[in-house]
Amino acid sequence: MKKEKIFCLQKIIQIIEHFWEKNGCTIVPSLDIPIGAGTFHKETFFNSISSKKFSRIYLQACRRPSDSRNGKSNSRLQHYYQIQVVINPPPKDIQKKYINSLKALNINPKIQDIKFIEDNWENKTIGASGVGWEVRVNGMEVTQFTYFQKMANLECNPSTVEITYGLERIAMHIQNKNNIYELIWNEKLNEKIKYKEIFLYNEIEQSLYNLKKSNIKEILNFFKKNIKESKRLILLKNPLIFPSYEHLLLSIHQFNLLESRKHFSIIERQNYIYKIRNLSKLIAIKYCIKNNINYKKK
Amino acid sequence: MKKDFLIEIITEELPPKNIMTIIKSFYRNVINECEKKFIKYNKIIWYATCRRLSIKINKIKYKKIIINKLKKNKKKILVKIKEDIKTIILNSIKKINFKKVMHWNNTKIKFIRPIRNILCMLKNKKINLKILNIKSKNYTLGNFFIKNNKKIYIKNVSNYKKKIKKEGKVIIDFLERKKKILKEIKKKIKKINGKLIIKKKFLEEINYMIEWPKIYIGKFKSKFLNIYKKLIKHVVENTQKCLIIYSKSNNITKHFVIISNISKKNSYRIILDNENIINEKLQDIIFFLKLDYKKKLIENLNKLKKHIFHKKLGTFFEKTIRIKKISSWISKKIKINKKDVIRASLLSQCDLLTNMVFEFPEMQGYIGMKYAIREKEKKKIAYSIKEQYYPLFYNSKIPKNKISCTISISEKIDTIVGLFISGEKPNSKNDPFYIRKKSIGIIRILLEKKLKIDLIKLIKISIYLYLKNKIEKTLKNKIIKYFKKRILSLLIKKYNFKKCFIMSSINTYKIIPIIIYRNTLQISNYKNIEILKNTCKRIKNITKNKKNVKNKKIKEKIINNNIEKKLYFILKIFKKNIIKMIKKLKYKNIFYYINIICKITNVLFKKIFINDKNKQIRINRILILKEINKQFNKIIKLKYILN
Repeated sequence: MKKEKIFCLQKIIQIIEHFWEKNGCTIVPSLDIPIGAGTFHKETFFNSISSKKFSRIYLQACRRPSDSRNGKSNSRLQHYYQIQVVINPPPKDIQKKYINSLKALNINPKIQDIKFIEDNWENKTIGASGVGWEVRVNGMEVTQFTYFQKMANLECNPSTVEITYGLERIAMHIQNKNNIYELIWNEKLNEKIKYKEIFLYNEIEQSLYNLKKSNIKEILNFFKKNIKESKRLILLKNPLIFPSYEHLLLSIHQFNLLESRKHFSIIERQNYIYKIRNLSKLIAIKYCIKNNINYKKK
Repeated sequence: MKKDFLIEIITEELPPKNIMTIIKSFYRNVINECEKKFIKYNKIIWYATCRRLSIKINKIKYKKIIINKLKKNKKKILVKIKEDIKTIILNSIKKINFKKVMHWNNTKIKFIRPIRNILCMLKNKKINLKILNIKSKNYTLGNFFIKNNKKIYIKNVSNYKKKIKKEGKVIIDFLERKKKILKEIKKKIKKINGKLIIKKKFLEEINYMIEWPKIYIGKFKSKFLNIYKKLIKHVVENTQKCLIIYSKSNNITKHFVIISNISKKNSYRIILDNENIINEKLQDIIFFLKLDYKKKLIENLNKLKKHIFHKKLGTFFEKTIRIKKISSWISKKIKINKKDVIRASLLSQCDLLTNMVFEFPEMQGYIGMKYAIREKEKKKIAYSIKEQYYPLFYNSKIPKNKISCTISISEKIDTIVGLFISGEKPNSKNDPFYIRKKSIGIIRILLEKKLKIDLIKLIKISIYLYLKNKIEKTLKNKIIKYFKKRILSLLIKKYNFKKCFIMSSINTYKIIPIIIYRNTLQISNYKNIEILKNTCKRIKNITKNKKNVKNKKIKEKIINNNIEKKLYFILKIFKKNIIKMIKKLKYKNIFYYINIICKITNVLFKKIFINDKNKQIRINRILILKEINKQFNKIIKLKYILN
């Protein structure tokens, strides 16, 4: 039997990007702001509100302060990478295309147990929700597959499909590793560069910051200031939509930092979410007005 | 013209928990629509998997009326049958009972999940049909993963099940899949001496996640067996959709069942990967446990001051203090140790701030209990942290021990009253805070645990704790009215009591569910109810429209008839003792009096003319009759049996 080549992470990124590039997606750069999910990227947020055709792919770093594990967990990270494929309208054979992208990575659905498990993705802060699945390979979640029904609480029609590859998870499967830090990031002749070389110390320090050392009072301050600035920019006579959106994203990250310090109760948390969501809706509506898009509130 | 018909809708993965409802709704719709079109058949069969919904109608034909109308012209019949089938299917699909539908392309069409193929055939011919913008085909698609959606042409409908199994690697029949799953599991767990305990609903869900089941057994690291059972179950079953294997003595073992979608070529890797992921998740739980174990549960109490319960109802700390006060009051009434109740109250909300509940909110209560046991709190106290949330559903179990009952009642009444105060009372359609469920919970506990707590007092105390000295009579009455309605509907639903029998017991100055129940039970068992009813009816007829009796009193002196005298004498004793008898539940005595009074009254009706010429006597007699009704009303609300 032919021995299959095992891909390093760097190669995995290239293969996925190349696959979707061949399928008509435009590769765009990542967003340079800390965000919790690739969906927050302006390309996805704004394009999925409008009804125009688009297809994008991008590599996006994501931050989840609450998932900080001081570098001690084998699989959880407060910082990781996603590849986001976003297409509107979704092709009829989108599931098949996705499976083919796995095949390109040598993940063979005939011998690996692939399941689409119902998981309707939702993010309350930017009022995004969709119907979809998490895709599991042999029990491990490697992808989130979503048809957006709502963005910024406005109806998405047509619905946009979003495929989110969890890169580290896919690499763990492909490289057959239990421990994220043991992943091979790059392979040169005789030298292997492991994930831990690049990320472990960052992970330890960031965890410490997220779980213990962050200054709650200051972050609350940043949060308020970003919300205020975002509001100011969107309420200008000629609103500055993108800068306003970026300040909103900053405030969401600060909200996540506060959450990782367990600053909120369940109900108080709701109030913060309302605040952010209302603002994200306002930004979306201003975007629609400026671009002559008919929008429907849901 | 007997032919088999088949429709199959292929979608992307359907939500496994809802498939049963969806396919059954589809199936029933087809039956109803066939009836409307006068179509007869031998049998309708449904099939469903995670990716397809199928309906097969065996030996379809018209009822005689239609066939006669079409003069048995075979060609005509065929054309019409095709037309009618289209209507039947379109209507049946339109009426499927979905909870939620979605868009998936740039048309306005919505369905539960994206539709990718529709097969529609009558015997060996395709029926051309456009459903939800998709044209029907004469082929189905094979297993998405194994056969890569291979097109399988159906040459004859009767072969569908076999063909799709052989060529498509799809077991379309729900029962066949289930049998296969269970058989394979049993075979495998025999070797490890295990036992399967699985809820029907979960088995159904598992069965609807796959089209071609293969079973493997994996195991997690033994060291994780020390983790709390419910957390292991949560990770293995709820999250990973694997099944826990139990030992013969019903303990969780490290073994679990993996239900896979595909063949055995790669079983080693499938098992290993599943094991790794479960080990990793259980390891994460240990991370949270270690963090939580660093401090005691009670140390969270002060931190509850920072956590808002509801913006109008204050913090969780304030809630805790209110629970403590209500619980103390209840403890006195039902004579249990006040110290224990106070301790339980103070601990009751503390687990909300643990890392574990933060990560798994559905574990609240359970985690509190486990941590409390670990910290050597009294068992009863520890259990109360969990059981305070009971009953979780309308019919599920109520708290066992009395401390739990106390905390549960306090927690619930505090939320109910609080939400009434903040204006978020429920209406018939909307009950976002589960006030209805909570109030029924309180009533069930009081009833089933036979606790003699007066709901009116409980409500008063709870209102006082929120409003201090502000007297809110209308608010109080609103809440009491709400509870009365719940008691009424519960007693009718659960114990089959008649409304008329409950009503008299419910409108008293105290509302103690168990007493209401006992009274109602006694009255329901009263045998001579018909006699009573008839007597009261006659009394009502005679006394109605009688003016000049208002504010007048019975004059004993002018009673001259012997029967009347006798009646009045008994009535007097009855009146004097009735409240006492009701309180002491002496229904035997009550009914004895009622029997006699009815009997004498009926004799009276026969022997004398109530409307005597003498005005004084006439009024006096009316007054006596009215008095009888008045006293009877204390036992049974007559207006409900007379109307």
